[in-house]
Amino acid sequence: MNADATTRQPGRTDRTSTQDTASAVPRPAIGSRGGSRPPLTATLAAEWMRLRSIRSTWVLVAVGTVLGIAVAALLAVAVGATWDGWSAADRAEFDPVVAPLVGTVFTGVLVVVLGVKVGASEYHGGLARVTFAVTPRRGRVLAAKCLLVTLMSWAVMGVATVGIAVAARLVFGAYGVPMPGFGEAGALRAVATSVATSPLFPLLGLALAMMFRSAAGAISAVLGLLFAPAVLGGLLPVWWQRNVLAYLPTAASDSICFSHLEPSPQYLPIGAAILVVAGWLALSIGAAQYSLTTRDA
Amino acid sequence: MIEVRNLSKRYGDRLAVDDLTFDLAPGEVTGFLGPNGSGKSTTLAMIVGLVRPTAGAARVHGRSYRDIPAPVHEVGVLLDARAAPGALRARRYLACLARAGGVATHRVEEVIDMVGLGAVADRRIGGFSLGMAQRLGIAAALLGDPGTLLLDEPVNGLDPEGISWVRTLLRRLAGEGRTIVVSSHLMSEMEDTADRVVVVGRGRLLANASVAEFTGSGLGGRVRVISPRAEELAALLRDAGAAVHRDGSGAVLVTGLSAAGVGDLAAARSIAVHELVQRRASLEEAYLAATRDAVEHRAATGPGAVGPAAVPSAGSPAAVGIPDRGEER
Repeated sequence: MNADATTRQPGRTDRTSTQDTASAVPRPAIGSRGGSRPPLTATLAAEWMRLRSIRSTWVLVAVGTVLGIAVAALLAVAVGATWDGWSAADRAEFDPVVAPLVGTVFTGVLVVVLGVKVGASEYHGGLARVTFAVTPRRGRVLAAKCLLVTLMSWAVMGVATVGIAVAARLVFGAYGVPMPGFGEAGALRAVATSVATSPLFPLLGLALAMMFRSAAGAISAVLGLLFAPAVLGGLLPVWWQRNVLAYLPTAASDSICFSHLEPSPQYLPIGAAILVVAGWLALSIGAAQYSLTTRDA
Repeated sequence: MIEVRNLSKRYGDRLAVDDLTFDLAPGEVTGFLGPNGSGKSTTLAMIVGLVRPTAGAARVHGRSYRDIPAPVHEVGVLLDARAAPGALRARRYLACLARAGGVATHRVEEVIDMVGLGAVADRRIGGFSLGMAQRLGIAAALLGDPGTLLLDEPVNGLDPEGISWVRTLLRRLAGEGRTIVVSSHLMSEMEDTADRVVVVGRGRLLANASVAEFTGSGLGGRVRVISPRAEELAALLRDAGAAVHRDGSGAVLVTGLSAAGVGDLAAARSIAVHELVQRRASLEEAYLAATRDAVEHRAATGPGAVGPAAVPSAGSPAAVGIPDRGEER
């Protein structure tokens, strides 16, 4: 060992000891007083504190919720205003509980942006180096972020869904469109499952942001994955819909939410759909974890 | 205690850190010196597990940093003051770090007071000057009251008062028995702050010594001798392995031998000596001498500026200039 404390310059030793008499007594065993590992809840609480302290978080939440409700209300107005001219067949086919859920697509996009931000904020200005110096087990940071995005997604989508239901009920009521009771099993299942599966795309966004280390690439990729099948879906041959599109995350989560309402070649049996969604999550989060632990921060 | 053993990091075909071995002992301020791009930041990042070494290892109290359960209580680190998120207020940022690191909340107020940021603690970090960001970064490093502090260029961007404050703080923390490592490419700051220096250039260890040893060693210290038989003496000293050259006044400047060694050699041959002075180089001169061959961006200053004739002459080290005083990543 060449760092020999006894060979310090005499003048410096003097200054050190006279500098601060209050702390002249060396502390015992300094530098080896390790605490216990902070629990995962501490990492989660820190991530939540950071997220809620940033104004843009609440802008995204507010815009997402309001936009979702506004779109649903607009649809309800459009339906209600023309309701008198609808044929009996059209009226029978229309589901006043499920149809306004189209508003959640807009809420969902903003929650995806939120999920991406939770990941990409680490890489905006090099914060990752601070975060991973404080919590060197990087998987723990990723787990906390995944939990946070899941909870945020459920909360925002839950509020938006309730808001959409209330707004649609008010508007339909004003126009005299008959509303089924909320207890109707099929519609309720659609509402509940669309909230339950809402973290899927935000989590994909988070995982991609941690891998790409940037928001732009992750947002583009997730929105592409979300909307490309919807745009192309109907144009592709049935074989493609049944064997390719069905296994993409959009169709798989739609299978969970809506397959009991109407058939589609893209829908999987519910058990298979849950496995496919879980597979996408495991693949993306696993890849993010691999990238985090093998690459330099 | 931090032990760095045969630490290397390769980026593509560039060896950023090349087989570094040194120890960092408690109770001392170690200046980690080197020109920009010499691997200082990479080395610090490897010590705290942010960058994976290509070879070798760094151990903190005998463990790898990643295996320390609550590392903020043992090692405080400031790598880049600008990494703090601009959208957050300073107090909240520190509270987040405290929460994640398992540090009691009251430490947030303590470190804010320690670094003198009380007046701006509720402002957004994005509006901070570099000097304020440095203070915030030091506050973050101090949160867990760690026994070891690793600070990468902490005085960068500070005004003279801030530099003096950092120096006093570091001396006090070292006096409490902590291990303090401060990297810098500004030698003049280290002279009054550091007990030891670890000097790197192009990723290699150039020196690991106390400041006294470093400035007095053959790396920068010289003996000035005047003799009526200067030519003869110069030849004798060269044969003894010293580097010798004459200055304009006819004095012989000797590097690599002590004044006693020069006097003894002269006496053995009965060469009269009229003047014999041991000159201790300033840290900056010693550093420039040590890193002369390891400066990567030499082209920026022109080959003449750092040539052998220009550097060791006692005159004005400032005129020589350390290449590129910009920030190092």
